[in-house]
Amino acid sequence: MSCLGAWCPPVLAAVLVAVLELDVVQFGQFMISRPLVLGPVLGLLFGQPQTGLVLGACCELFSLDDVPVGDKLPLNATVAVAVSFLMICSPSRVPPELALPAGLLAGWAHQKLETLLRQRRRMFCCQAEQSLEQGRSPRLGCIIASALAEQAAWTLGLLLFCVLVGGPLLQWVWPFLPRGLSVGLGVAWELAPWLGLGVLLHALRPVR
Amino acid sequence: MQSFGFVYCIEPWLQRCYGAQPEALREAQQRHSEFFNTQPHMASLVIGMTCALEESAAGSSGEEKADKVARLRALKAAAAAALAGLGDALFWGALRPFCAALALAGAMAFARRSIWLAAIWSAAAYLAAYDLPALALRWGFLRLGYEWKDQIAVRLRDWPGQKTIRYLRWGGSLLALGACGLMLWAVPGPLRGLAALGVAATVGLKVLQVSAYKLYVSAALIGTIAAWAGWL
Repeated sequence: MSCLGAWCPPVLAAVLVAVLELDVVQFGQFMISRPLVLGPVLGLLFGQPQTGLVLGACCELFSLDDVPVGDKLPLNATVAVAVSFLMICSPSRVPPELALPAGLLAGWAHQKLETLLRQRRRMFCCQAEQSLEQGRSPRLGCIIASALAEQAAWTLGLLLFCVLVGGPLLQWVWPFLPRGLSVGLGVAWELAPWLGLGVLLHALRPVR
Repeated sequence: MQSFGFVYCIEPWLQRCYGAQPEALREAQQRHSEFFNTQPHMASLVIGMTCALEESAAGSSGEEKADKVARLRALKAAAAAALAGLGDALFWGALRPFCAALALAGAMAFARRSIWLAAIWSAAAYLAAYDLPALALRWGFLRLGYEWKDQIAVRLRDWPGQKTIRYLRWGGSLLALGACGLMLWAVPGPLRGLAALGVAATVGLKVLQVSAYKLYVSAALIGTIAAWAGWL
């Protein structure tokens, strides 16, 4: 496969993830976007089920008690698992101990991005309210569709930036990292599933 | 934005109720574009109730209609707030962790045979365990909301929501312990104790409200310090 062709599967996967990300809050909430579903699916598509399963489990369990209640916007675990996985499986081949924190950082960046998008969406609401006040029926279908398309487009932009720019950058930086830091990242990577299990047990504790 | 999603959902019904009265239709759209926020899976109960009450309001006029509309507004706001609490506890607090525990325990069991099977199980079990009850409830709540009308609060008293949450948490705990046991079994002997200690320490720190992300960063920092100190 040519160098450019090797980037095609991660880019196509990023497009798929950008659409599935709408399932997090905006559309459906059928849980297709949950990391424990998306991670293994990406793993199966890329022929690396173990990587997908481990990353999916870690991101799922980390985000388990971080729920979207009211206007609280948690770190986007879907983006986190997708960026981590695509960084590992793209031609940049970022090591998993670096890809997981990079993915979590991308999930945090998406959280900030969505806060801005939500503020922008208030404009759509104002437009609809104005239409109603002027005695016209707002075209809600179009308003909702454009809000969804905008969300998917920004998510895709962030995913592509992380995979196409962040991935090669991290691959270049990795050999120059101080040994202590790379050992620390390795320790965190080894401990991540155990931390996740602790979160799961805590989330399921009996409550009176 | 949830309020306009709500209007979008009930718009065909409003058109059916007020089709011949454009002014009344616009008023109905306007009153439902007011602030609305609830747990998404429980929203169908409010939608069903609203449809029934709008139908009743559309069939009346004058002061009677004004009273019905005022009651509808109050009931909608109260139901949305109350159902949000129940829905968050049931779907986010119990069903989602249960599905994660089920997917994880199964994946750990299958991983010994085939990692491909484990990955397929994880995705399929999670989706089936979540979506079958969630979609059934969404559809059922729409019908029940329409039937129960303003009796939602009274009828929900008999609904075994809290019992379901308790069972899901117990079942999930057992599955999570099973997954933990299988993972520990797969770890080489000397590291098994350390891994178990990591799980126990996480549970303890979570009780103190420390987020999982902070724990992960702390693990990386401790590892870095230990490496610089020459212990690793």
